[in-house]
Amino acid sequence: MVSSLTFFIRERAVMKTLVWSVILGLFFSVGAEAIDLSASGGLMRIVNSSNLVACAGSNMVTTFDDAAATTLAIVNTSGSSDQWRIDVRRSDATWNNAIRLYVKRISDGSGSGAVTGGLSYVEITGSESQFFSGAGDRIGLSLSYELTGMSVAVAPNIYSTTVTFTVVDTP
Amino acid sequence: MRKFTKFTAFLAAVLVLGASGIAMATNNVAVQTATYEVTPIHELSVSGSPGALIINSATAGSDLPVVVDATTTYSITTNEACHITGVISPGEEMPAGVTLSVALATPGMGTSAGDVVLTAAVKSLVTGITAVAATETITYKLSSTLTAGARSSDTRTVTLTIVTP
Repeated sequence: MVSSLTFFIRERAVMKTLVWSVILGLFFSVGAEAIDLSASGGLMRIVNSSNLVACAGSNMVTTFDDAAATTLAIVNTSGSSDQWRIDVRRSDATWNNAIRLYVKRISDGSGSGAVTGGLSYVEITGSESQFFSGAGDRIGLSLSYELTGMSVAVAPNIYSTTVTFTVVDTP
Repeated sequence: MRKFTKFTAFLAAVLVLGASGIAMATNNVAVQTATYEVTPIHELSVSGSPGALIINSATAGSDLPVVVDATTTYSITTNEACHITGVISPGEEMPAGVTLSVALATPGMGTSAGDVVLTAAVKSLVTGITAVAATETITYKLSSTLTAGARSSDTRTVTLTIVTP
């Protein structure tokens, strides 16, 4: 009887610990806001003889701009004062060091928040680069890609890279 | 009787925290693919046809002179290894004793075969071309032996072609 009572008291104490641990865990988890970022669109361009500056004897156009190739949406912020930043980097599958990829923002999108920066081309490299920032929810942020360095010296191939956008919650 | 320790309770709390943390972190990244497909490019053109090649005078005691025309050019754009060939259209072989040759200047790279006698068989004119965009001179030469005799005016079609390995 005494051992059963001891076990019952111990079990209640453990249960109390468990409940309080879960409650505190959930409280602090909910307290940490998670901004959501999504992207739609993508980029696929074919470079061929139609991209020569003129005709035979001329080199290729060096720069390609693809406007509105991508749209970003930043949602689930805690409100119009919840500040964030978008970083960008790339990871190459097959690439050529002669060509460089850039991105810029070409629209403000819509939403209760605001957006700033990113209106000039930012080079996308293998390291994180700060792209633009804002506050609150914004959707429909159109981006434009630019490729430079193209020429006949770039051998025929399919050059592909994964562009990663990251939203960083800033104070 | 089931054992239920404080360690188990703590472990459960950690799992809840971890699951919540994971759920919060999964949507802050968006990825896209940027793809550029560069296709093989082989563009070749000529500026036009050379002027008429006419042998109509000679120096007494000497062979007939060679008539030269270097007024035309070829233009090439390629992003692959290749060479240029030349050929006279089938059925248009030069008459016996009359020779038409062509020489292409190199487009800043490769090797010119120099004066190549044109026949209905394809012949290499410039080899070792890689990626280039250039315009260079074409030089035609017409020669004739004395025994070929006088010939009336005639035309030939010369075709230049980019060939990849």
